[in-house]
Amino acid sequence: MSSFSFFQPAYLWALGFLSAILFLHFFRRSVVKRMELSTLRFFPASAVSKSRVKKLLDILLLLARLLLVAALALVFAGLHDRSSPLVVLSDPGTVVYTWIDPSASMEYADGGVSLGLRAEAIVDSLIATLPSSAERYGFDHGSGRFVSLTDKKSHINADTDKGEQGFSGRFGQVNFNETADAFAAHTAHSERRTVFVALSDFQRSTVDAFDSFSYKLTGDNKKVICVSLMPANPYNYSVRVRSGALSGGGISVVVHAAGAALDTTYVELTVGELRIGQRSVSCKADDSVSVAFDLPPAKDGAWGKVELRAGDPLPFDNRDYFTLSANRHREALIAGDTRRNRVIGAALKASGAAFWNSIVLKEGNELTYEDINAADLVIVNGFNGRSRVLESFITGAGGDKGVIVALDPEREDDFGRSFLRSAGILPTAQKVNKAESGVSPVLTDTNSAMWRGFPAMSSGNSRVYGYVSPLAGGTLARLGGSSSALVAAVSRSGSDLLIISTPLGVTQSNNLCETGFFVPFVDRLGRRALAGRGQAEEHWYAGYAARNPFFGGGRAGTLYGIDGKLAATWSSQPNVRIDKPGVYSLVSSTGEAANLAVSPHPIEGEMVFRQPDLGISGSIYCFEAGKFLERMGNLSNNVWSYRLWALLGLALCCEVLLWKRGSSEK
Amino acid sequence: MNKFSILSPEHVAPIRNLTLRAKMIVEGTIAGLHKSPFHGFSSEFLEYRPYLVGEPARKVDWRKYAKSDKAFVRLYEDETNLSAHILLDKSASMLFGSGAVTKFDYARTLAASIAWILVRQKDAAGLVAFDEEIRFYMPPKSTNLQLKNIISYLEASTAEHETRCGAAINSAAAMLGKRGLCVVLSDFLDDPESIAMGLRHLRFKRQDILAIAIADPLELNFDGRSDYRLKDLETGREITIDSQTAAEYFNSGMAGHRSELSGICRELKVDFEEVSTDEPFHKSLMRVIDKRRRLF
Repeated sequence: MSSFSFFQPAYLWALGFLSAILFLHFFRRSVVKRMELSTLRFFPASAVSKSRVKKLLDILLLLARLLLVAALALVFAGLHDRSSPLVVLSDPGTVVYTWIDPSASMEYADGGVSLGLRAEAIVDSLIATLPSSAERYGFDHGSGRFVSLTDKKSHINADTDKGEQGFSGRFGQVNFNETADAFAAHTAHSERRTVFVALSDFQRSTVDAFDSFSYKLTGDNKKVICVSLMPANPYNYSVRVRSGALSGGGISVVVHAAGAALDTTYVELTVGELRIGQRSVSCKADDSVSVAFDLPPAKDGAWGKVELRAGDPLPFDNRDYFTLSANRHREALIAGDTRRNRVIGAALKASGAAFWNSIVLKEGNELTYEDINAADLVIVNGFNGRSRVLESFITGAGGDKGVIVALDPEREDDFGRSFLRSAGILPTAQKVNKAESGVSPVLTDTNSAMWRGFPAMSSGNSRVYGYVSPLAGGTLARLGGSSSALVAAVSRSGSDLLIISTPLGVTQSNNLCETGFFVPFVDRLGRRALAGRGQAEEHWYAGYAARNPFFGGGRAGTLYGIDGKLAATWSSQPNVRIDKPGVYSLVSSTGEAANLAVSPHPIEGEMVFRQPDLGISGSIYCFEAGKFLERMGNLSNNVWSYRLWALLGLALCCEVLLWKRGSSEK
Repeated sequence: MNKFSILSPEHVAPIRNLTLRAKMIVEGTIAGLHKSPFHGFSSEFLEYRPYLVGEPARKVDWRKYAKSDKAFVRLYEDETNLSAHILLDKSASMLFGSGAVTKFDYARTLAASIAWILVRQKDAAGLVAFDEEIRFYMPPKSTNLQLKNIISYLEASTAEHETRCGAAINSAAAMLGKRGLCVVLSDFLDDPESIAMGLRHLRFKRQDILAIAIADPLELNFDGRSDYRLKDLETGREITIDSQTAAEYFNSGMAGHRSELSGICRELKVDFEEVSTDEPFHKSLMRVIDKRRRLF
């Protein structure tokens, strides 16, 4: 089956002229007459050859004329190879829609030019190549609709604040659904051939969105051409604050090198306007390293940033922001024997009075849901019996709350032992171990974020006389180098909790609370349990919706940039979004102010790309940008049209040469 | 209608009787002359000779006698009894004719007419018919029977075989002994060198030669309008050729051939006359007579 088609088949009527030419040729052709002549002595063999050549030339002339008319008709009819997806762009009746991926990853600039600018240049080339009668539209990400590109310029991308100097991408998930709907609405009543040209690096998140809604772009007379700007050897370095920074404590940042090794450079920490320090860092390809900084005491709400000094193609994730939570008031709920647990509360207070706003001691059977909802950290210690509230809380994965459960070897009905066993968090076979002379707790290290600052891994004064074993989970501390003293376990529902094999408070099973080990130990336990908790509320990602802190509170707030410019006004909408990374000041209507650190989402700098799903409709085609440009160059004015014009010229030359030859001989 | 138009080939051609045809042409031609050609042919003064006793007294030239007081008798040229041979080409190429008559028809009509004139003025007329060789020879005589025989042969003869004009003339020259006149009627479509050799031989035999090249109008100007499948009347060879190429080659070839022939004749002091078959017979005959008035 032929793959040729015509843009304007109506012009094929001109092929009727072929019959006119044939008619004229045969009409004018002389009939061979038989004649007897007195002599043929004057006709050498060359005369006959010459006559044959003339006959041949006559046939060639006829063919040239036929070719001339046929080529003209085909040129006007727009002959093209429909198997070539790009040839449709030569159709004068085509409507072309362009969409440039607005995501931040399009800022990737390897070789000085960002992918976004390359995309704009490609669209400009495309527009210049299109037939003048072809309609062209570009998707305006600001208004969310297609606008006509009449000035042969494509600059309708995300944020063109920089004009032609650069490309500033948008953070957050690409809303391709909006584009697809706008396209569908724009082409709903059109019978014309439409081509949707998508230019993107097809980073994982983008291509996921594209694949989800590409079905809306296809249909009768609709083709989708994906132009992939995927970097050839992508690499990216990024830095990220690992957890909430605590005033007077430390901060851990993670440097990640994707695609290429990071040669020795440094990470710089700044709090406010003050540069605190810098750490040398290097990293192997596709690996991460952690860098820890000590933070000086700072006032509540102070902000800071970490910056990786590395020249990589994607610079926006070389910087991350954080706020110091010195005055972040947290509440600890200690459930169990209040008399024995008081010392734990005291230890928490001692570790940071400003950090722990309130410490609530409750008997286990007096717990309410309100108590747990109000708490940031729940410590279960010395609780005999059962508590449905507590069980429900632990099994239900209180995602934003830290949980520490201390097991008591002296009591058979200890909540921790019985519930955790039945919940599958602990092994069913539990053994109570007794050590007459006691064993010392041994830390796994002294340089991790958790144990940094301890003078030694083992505390000689601290003795544990009774403990439960075995424990399941990641060991954070041991007893005498064998049994686990502290593990990070994960429940079946996915919530994690810290489990200690011996009680924390006043007990005969250990003397921990009587030593200097106890306060920092409890402090680190609390911070470890809280690490990563509440980040959903606290951590803001640019371009991603987050819960409005004023939602349902009857208050409103105004968001200002760190430079004091108004960024947004939030009232009672459930979700709000901040478009760009940085530090913002959120001022409530009641006058309270707090800083917000907004980071780029890790997925933005992810160097994972893939081709879009071409589907089964056969209407989606994907080209690498270079190939697309090359084929567009070849296509300019349609390859077949080009060939036909050449044919036309050839036929015309033949016509002129052969015709002149005939007439001169006459 | 012009009084001579009846002598045009298309009017003469339907007349099958060659005697009648010749008579009509000759008498029509002579009727158009101011002076009777018979006198011109037979009364040309040649010389005086002394009167011999016993001769009729009317032969004496009394004017000469008055001047010289001696009796002389005038001798006229016709009395020398011109011996003329008509060499007729009867090769197949002579069968070509695009008009009312073929070249052969035209040639034999001219031959008959010339023979008629010669015999009527008491000259001896003979006939040599040839194609690739001499096919027929009739020695010259001045009798009416001779004329009748010549015309009978001409009527009965047909054109066939290839032309070897030069060789045939050469052979004819070998047969001729007496000084005389040779009228060659042919299309001369033979090798010019060969023709030259034959004519040279005739001249050697002290023959005055009148070469009459018979040509069809189409041969003089080949102007075809269509493509042709041409067949050679003599060899049967066939070719297919377009009109332009045919005209180009044939016209240039024929012109070259005629030019060469004309040059040969000029060199050999042979009177060369080209006659087209669409030309009225009387005109052709007049041209011949004019050319050879001295002889006829």
